[in-house]
Amino acid sequence: MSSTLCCSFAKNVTLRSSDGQTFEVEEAAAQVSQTIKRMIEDGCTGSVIPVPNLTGPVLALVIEYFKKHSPPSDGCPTALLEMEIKDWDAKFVAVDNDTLLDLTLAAHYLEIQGLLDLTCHRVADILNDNSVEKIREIFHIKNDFTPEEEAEERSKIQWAFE
Amino acid sequence: MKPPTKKQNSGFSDLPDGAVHNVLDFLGMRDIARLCVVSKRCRELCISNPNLCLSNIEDKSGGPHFYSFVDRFMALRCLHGVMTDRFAIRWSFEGSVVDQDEEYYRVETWLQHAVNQGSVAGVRLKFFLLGRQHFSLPLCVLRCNSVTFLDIDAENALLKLPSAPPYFASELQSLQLRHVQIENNCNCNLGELLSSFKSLKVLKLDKISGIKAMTITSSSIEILSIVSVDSHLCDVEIQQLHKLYELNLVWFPKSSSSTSLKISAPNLQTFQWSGITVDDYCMRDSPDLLQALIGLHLPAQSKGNPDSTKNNLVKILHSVQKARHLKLYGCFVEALLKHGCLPFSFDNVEHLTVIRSSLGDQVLPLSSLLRGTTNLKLLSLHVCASVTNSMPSSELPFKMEYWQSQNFMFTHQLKKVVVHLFDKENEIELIKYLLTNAQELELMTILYSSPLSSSDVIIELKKFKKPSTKLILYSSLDNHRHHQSLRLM
Repeated sequence: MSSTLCCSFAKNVTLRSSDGQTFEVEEAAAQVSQTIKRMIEDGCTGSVIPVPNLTGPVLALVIEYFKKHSPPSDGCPTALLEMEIKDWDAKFVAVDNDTLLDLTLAAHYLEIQGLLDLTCHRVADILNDNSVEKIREIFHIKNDFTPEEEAEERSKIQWAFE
Repeated sequence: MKPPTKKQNSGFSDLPDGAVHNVLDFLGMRDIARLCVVSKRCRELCISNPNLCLSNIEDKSGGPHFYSFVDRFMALRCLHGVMTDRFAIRWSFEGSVVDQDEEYYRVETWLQHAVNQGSVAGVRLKFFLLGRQHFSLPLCVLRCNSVTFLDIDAENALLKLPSAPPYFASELQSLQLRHVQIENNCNCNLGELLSSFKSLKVLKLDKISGIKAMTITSSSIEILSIVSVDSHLCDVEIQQLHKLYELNLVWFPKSSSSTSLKISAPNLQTFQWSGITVDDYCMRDSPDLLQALIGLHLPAQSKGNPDSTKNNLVKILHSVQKARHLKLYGCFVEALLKHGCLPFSFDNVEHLTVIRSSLGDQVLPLSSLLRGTTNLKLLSLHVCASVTNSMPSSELPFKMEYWQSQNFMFTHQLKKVVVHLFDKENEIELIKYLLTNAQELELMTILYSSPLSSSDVIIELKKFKKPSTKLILYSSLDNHRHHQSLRLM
């Protein structure tokens, strides 16, 4: 390995999910999250950083994302790296709908703009592809309109169903 | 420790408002309208989004029902006291069901309503106007105190400037005009108008046309970009831009008329200029540039005598001489060599990037250029995306001994090299030379896009490299789509 890599020591942080699972990850990688970055800057590194909004499986996925999106080492041509990451992202977000929403929530809570855009785009694609009834089913949305109200709302936007 | 039972899945509408709004930003009007009937909560979320984009482009919506939906939607937002942060209109007037003027008036009214609310920070307008239609600069946006960002894209429609410079203080910090034809107006020219925006920090004029000369004076502008492929623009003067640190020019002036570029920006750090050279070039104060990029061609018909061409090129070189990172396109380096401007002393240059932009032979221009770089630490040789090599070079390659004979001054402190293989034989010889002679070389990165038996190359190159040098090969066989392999040694 080159000398430049040797000088950058890898410091780790520990993250704990809502269900008590702990994960160790490189500090530089975890700082992809603005929320964690702020916590590290505030001196939380010594102890375990709690991530109470995320369950273990979701946090594990987010950490995979961290690792892929951590700042690149020296000398890698960025254009190639970007293409590879784009491919990886597309695969990463091809998950079931519930996990997709979990990841969206995680990205929002941890302020990971790249992941938030990625998951939101995917959610938007699903909304775009499906009927009103199907949207309710996929995303567990309770229809709280009375049949009359719904009929009235629908009649106002007939153009959107054409 | 996994919880024994799967948790009750929370749905889309249980996400925090901010996350849902982020989703909505990817949706067109039709999807928003449909989402409004999914549930009351969904409708609320659609209405409360601080970003609003009115568009009939993506899903070809139209007709009186659609317009009344937009009217009602905006009214509901108003009723609920939603503060709009970013407002966009993407509107095509093509095939409009009502009279085009009437439709334009309707769109303008929406814009006025949105900005009059007083919370809008950013406005983006994209109009597809028909044929000869013109539109006016939206003064309501410029006058609005909250708007700091305005982006207009008009598919080459004619922009009517106000009849006199506006007598109000605009808070605008960033202005982008794209695909806009500027109306010739003797009372108010574009430069004067822009100079009157006292808070403007970023100005981007992208593919503007219709003007012959432009003078920009400003005490606030920090970033300026002018892209003009319209050949009518002949004279550009950038006057007393004390805060300007980034200037980007892509400009193809008509070669038959006399052309000039005058820059006075003492604190410039990044200067990029590509297109065609001008007859009269002047960079005053010679700023301490960090980065300069020159990708210029000489005009197709040569003007004046060879001496004046050489003079001109030398002036350009002097203006970027202090740059620490210098990027040059191959076409420009060839022109420099042809007109006897090389070698030229680049004592400040620590990072040199040469981007191959033509199929022509690059060895002689490159070696002449390298002779003037005494403090080089990083050398990058790239290939412009539009240039593809299909033919094998028929001539004999320049051997390693050729490079050896050049007695370059920079080899003792060169740290990193990136080479995009194009003309394989020639570059391999240069790589061998650098691997052998650059004592401090830490990293040699080789990118290749044409099929090559990499193992042969590696075995050959390995013989030349020092133990302290790291050698990396990247392959992008499928030209920009997927990168295939990475070999690290």
